[in-house]
Amino acid sequence: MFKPEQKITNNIRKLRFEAGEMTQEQLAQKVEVTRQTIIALEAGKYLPSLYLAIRLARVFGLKVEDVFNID
Amino acid sequence: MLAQQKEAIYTLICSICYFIVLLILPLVFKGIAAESVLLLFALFISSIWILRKRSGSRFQAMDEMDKTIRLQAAIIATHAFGLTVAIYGIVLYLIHRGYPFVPIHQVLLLALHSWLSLYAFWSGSILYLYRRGALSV
Repeated sequence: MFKPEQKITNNIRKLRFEAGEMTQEQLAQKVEVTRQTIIALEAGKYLPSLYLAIRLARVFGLKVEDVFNID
Repeated sequence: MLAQQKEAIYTLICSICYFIVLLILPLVFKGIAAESVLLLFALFISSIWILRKRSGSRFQAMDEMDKTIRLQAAIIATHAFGLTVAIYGIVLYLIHRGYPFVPIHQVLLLALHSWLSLYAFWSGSILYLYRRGALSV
């Protein structure tokens, strides 16, 4: 059962570095958002839409649950 | 800085400037005419339209986070707008409850102040949400 205070986290930053040290700008262009959105995502300040979450996962060749998690 | 953040800063400063003008004008001219309030209303709308153009902010160019923040800021601003109208209306009631009517320039000032508060809270909320992050819903 999920509790309301549980937080959604991601490992986008780690995946970015593992994907040939991709920059935030490069990732932003791939998923068609601004660099500020990538910054906010990595800082946990923004929860992406399902559409953006799937696009991000596809950039890294992973499933959504491999990129995002509930703590 | 994003174009939306620039637009928000310009709008916030513009709203505050017009608030100050509305405080000073009646003191300098010993009152304010209804036509002056309408003119200031038109000037304010024109000002923020021009400032928006100069900031380069375009809705079509915004991504999902930008639109989310803009929408959430609008929700916050709508509540602040309602609060301003309510408080202003209560004040007008208390001042004029012994009379059969409220002077027209004060009704127009209620409208202009409410509009200024809408844009001040909207732009302030945009800046705050970009700093803090969008609200999780």
